[in-house]
Amino acid sequence: MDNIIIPGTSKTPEVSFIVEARTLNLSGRSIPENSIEFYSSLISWTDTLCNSEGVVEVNINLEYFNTSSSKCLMDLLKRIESSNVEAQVNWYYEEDDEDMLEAGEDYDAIIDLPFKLIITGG
Amino acid sequence: MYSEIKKQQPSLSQCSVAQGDVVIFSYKGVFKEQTSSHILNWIERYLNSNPTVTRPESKKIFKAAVELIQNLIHHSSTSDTSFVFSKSESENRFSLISTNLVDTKQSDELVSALCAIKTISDDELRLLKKSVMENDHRSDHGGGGMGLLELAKLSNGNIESELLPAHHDKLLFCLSVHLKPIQA
Repeated sequence: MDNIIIPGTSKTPEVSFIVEARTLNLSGRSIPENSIEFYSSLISWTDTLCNSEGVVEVNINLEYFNTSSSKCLMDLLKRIESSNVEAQVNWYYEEDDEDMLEAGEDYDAIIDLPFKLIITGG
Repeated sequence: MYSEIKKQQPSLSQCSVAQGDVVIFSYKGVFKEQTSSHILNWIERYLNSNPTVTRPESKKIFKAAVELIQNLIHHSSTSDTSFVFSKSESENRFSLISTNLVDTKQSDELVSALCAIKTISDDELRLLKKSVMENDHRSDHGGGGMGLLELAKLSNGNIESELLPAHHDKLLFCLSVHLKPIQA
């Protein structure tokens, strides 16, 4: 199982999924036209990681995401939720970005995983 | 009457760029991924260079533009498709307008969805969006029909639509999203 490192673009997030650290980092923006295509390999990777027990840390620090990506993020988090890993989700949002705060609150309400909503300077 | 309607040609001017609004950007033609990238980059540069638009406002406008434009890529392959970004100083708002051809079945579904959205409060809208997110259902394009909900939420319900007669068995669907405030 290899790490996934993908540089960010104007439409897709920077991805840093590290096996050894068991961390999943997404940052930047996630507004691809075809989010399923982008996220499918990330979800498969997450499934594989979650097959082995341990701690998993998810850091989501997105400036924007489209509705299609929001479904993919939900899929990814549900995979972790349904596994036996001990997970922590850190949801970062810019100060004054109420939409991103609300989105984090909504994921927190739906997904049964420990969520931290963390304010950033923007 | 029907034949008279059929003879009308759809055009951007038929749709609701409100009187007095200043068009900042407009595009009419086929929407592809590259078109979307160019338009979104342009809008982002415009918003970033406009000191009267705060970052949270700018993000709302950009997110609404993303949803509208990506919807056009998925739902239209004809040159009758258009997108307009305008502002009204008097109304203290930016508007985003998209037009695309739809068939009768699509128009019925859109009218029904928009009617439902227009009648509910912001809190109910958030709950509805959450319920759609939670549902495993996906539309063909991945969002599970969340685009309209997101647009309604971003605009606090300031979303309007029109269906205009077009050619053959199609209608021209015009969707306007108004975002406030802009500082004069």
